[in-house]
Amino acid sequence: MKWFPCELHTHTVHSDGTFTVETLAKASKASELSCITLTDHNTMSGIADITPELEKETVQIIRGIEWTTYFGHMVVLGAASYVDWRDAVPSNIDDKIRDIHKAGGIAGIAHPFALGSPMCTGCYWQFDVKDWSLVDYIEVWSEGFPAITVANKRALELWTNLLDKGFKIAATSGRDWHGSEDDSLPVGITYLGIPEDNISPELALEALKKGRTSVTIGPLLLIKAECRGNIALPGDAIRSGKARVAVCIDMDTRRSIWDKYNIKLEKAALVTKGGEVLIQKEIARWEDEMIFDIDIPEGWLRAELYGEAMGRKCMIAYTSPVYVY
Amino acid sequence: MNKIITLLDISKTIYPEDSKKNIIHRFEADKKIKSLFIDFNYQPKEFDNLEKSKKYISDGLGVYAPGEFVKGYGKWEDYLPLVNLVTVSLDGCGEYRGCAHRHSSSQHHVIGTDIASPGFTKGLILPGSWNLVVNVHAVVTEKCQYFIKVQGEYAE
Repeated sequence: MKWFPCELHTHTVHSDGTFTVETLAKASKASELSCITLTDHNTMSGIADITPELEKETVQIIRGIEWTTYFGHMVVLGAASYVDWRDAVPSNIDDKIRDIHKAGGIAGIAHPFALGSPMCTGCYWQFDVKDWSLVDYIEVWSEGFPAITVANKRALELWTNLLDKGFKIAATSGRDWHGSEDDSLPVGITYLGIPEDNISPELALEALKKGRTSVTIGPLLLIKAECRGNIALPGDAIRSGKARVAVCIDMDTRRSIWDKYNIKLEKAALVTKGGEVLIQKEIARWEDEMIFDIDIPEGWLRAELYGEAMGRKCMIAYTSPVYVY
Repeated sequence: MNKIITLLDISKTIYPEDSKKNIIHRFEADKKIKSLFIDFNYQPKEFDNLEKSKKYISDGLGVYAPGEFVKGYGKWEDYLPLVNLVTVSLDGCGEYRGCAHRHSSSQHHVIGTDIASPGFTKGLILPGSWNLVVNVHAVVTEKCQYFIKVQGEYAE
C-alpha cells in the first residue's frame, strides 16, 4: 500500500476562486501533492481545462463539484452524469445521494459546522440525513490550521459519534482552496492509501470509498493492526481480541512543506469507541514505528498524533479507523 | 453579421423571504443559437444597516454555534458586511450548462460554441426550452432587484 498526499476541496475561476485550473494544478505540484479534486461551486465547467499533459506534468485531478446548496455544502466526486443540486432540500438528501451513487459518484459532507446564512450561505449542514451509511466521507478538517478550530472539533465529534453507531465513514481534510494565499498557517492534507505504485482519479475514489485515509498537518500517520494472521489498515475490518498494532509516523514525506509549521510531536494514541484512549505513548524522540500488543475491543480503532504546531498544542494527525468486529 | 435576438429581458424584486429559492425564467430557442449572452445584475449588494446586521449575525450564531461553541467563532463584527448573494444557472434540452457562483453583482456571460465564460460549458444552445435559474442564496437587505437580459446569435 502506498500513501499519496491529496487536496480534496478546491475552487477556480469557474466559481469564486482566483486559480485557473492550470495554476491550481501547478500550485498543487509545488506543494508536493499527488492528486487533487476539482470542486467548483455548482459547476463542472473547469473539467474542460484539464488536459492529459497538465495531469502528467502536475497532479492527477479528480473531476468533481461542490454542491453549494441552501442547506449545506457537499463535495460530489467522480459522477459520470450530472445530478442536480438545485432541488436538494433537507428532507430529500438521502435520495439525492442515492442518485449521486447511481451516477457513479461519491458524496462527502463539506465543513458541516461552518457558520451558515447570512454569514456564509448554506455552509452549515442542515440536511436531514436518515441513513448515514449513504455518506461516503466527512470533511472533518476544513480550511487553515484545521486542528484548532471549534468547527472542526465539532466535526470530529460528529464523525466519532457516527463511528460509535456502527457507520463506516472516512474522514478527510479539505482546504477549500480558492487561490494562492499566505501559507504560514498549517494546512491539512488527506493521504489516500493506494494498492499500486501510482495514483489515478479512479484509484483515489476507491480509496475514499474504502476509508483508506489519513489526515495530517504534518507527518503521515499510519495504523496497521494484526490479529490471528490478518492485517488491517484504515478502512479494513479485524477481529477483536489480542492484536499487535503498529503506529507509524513518516517524517520524510513532504517535510519541506510542513517543516515551517514548527511541529513538535508529543504523543501517539490508539483511540476507540467514544473517543476513549485505549493506549498512548509519549514520543520522547522520534521513532518511525511504535508497536502496541493490546486487546482491541469491538467497534473501531484509529491512531491519533498530538503535539505542537506554530507554538500551539493540538492534534497533528489522525487516521480513518480500522473496524473491529 | 448574424442577427442578435433578445430572448429574455426582465427585472424582478426579491425579498428576504425569497432566500433559498430558485426562480426559473424560461426562454425558447426556436433555432440553434451559436452564442448566448447573459447580462445579470442585482442591487444592492451590501447591507449597510449595522444594527440589523448585528441582530442577523447574532441570531445566526445562536443557531449555528449554540452555547459555549459561540466563543470559537469570533466576534459578530468579523462577519461584516453582510451581503446579498444571488447567482444564475442555466439548463435546457436535458442538459445543465453550469452556474456562475461568485459574488459579483454585475455579470456578463457568453456561452458559445468555441468559448464560454467560467462556470459554463461551451456548445450550441439547441432549439427548445431553456431555463435561466436565479439562485437566491441570501437576501439580507429590505429588498433586492435583479435585471436579466439574455440575447442569442443564431447559428445560421
